[in-house]
Amino acid sequence: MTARRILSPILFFVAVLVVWEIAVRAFAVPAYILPPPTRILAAFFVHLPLLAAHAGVTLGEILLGLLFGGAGGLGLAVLLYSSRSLEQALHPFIIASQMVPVFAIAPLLILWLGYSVWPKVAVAALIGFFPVAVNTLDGLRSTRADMLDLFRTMGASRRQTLAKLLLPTALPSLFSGLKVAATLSVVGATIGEWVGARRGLGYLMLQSNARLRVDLVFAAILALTGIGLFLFAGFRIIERRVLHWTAHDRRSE
Amino acid sequence: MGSRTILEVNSLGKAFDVRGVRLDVLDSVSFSVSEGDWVTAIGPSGCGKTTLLRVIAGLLEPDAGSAVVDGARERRLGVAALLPQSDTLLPWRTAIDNAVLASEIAGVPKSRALAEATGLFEHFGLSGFETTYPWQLSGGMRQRVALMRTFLSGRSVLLLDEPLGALDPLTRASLQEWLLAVWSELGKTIVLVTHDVDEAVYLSDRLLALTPRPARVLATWSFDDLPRPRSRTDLTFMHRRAEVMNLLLEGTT
Repeated sequence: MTARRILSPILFFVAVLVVWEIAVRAFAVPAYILPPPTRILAAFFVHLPLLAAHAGVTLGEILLGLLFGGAGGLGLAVLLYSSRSLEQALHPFIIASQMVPVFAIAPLLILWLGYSVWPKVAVAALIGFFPVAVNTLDGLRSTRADMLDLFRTMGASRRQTLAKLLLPTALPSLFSGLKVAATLSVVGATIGEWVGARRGLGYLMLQSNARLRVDLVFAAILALTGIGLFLFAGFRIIERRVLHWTAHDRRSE
Repeated sequence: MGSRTILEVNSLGKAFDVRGVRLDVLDSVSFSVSEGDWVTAIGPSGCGKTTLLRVIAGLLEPDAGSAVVDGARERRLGVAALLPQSDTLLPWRTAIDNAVLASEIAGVPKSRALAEATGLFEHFGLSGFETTYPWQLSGGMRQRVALMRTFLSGRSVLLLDEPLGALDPLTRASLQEWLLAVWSELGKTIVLVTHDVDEAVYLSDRLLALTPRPARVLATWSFDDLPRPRSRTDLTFMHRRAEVMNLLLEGTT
């Protein structure tokens, strides 16, 4: 059963690649329009040092973006949870902030923060903070009323209730938010690099595209996908370790 | 047993507003408890027993009358320890970390709290389970950990809301024995609410019978004529149990 679960997606993926390869060769599609998978794979390995150097820059931007976006989202969630009036005042703006296309403000961020890594970090953080804030707020709100009452009868301060009850309760939701943020911040950093950069996988993609090196564009996409998967898996592993007590609930579901 | 009055409930009244309809829950309930005594309030389900405990604990303010716990009238939160009816162990804490939660919040240094708890684990029939998580424990064991947390809170008045209600009869009977042993050893004052007549007569020094909602004190008994350890097959015991049962039945119809 598990063998089949692992095997079927692999078989599907291989089948797609084979059809792709055959189609490109059969219709003689030029490599600067759509290269066959073998050529992309070759480009990936031939240019591995180049890709790794650019990937390092992009990964750095993503991680910093996640750090700031995650911390900002968590902080905002705690703030909104503790103050009803603040939540009512900010709620429309938080929703509206998600309607602003981050793509559109990326040039402004370049203007303000220069060609450094910071505009990319800012775009990644801006995209990543929303799912973290929304999920964490939901998590905080899911705290059981009888537990909150229990803490009150123990004479717990606000800080004690936050540290010993609210945050641990919200932790699973925080991780859900971080996993979404991780995939989104890959997009964010790439957009940031498209708008203006001298390094990074987004920059490499633009350069390769301009020089009709579509195989290298695909190789960069492959690397970005790898980074996204790596981050997602990383959070999952940390989540399982930290949230060991939810393993039981998962099993009984 | 000491003779100092540690809990004084005076013509307590409480009503809730349920969608615009006034619902009287407590109607001039009065009683007092001497230090070290075990007082039980018994009444039919939904009569307001839990509300009574919540008012005493300070989670609710009375509409009429007053509750004075250990000298505190206005700010009662944190004065008495409440054991709620629901399962209130924190799933991310081990048994021992759950047991010390109340004393940890009260500011007892963690090492001292842990040392104190370790000594009590055997007493609570839990030795060997210190580092076990709640989901790995049976219902009876979880309830003992919760009781341990209540006993370790450092408070002298313990409010127990049907602590044995959700357990099977065998576990229930053995926990009653054990609760009596812990109580006489640790010299706490206990206010128990239950709907189980047998349990009430078996455990208490004094018993208040409450009417169906709104709860009024229907009758009170002192079980001075039932020396401890009590026997359920003792004639006086059976007589008392029947007396309480009959009165409650009359009060309900």
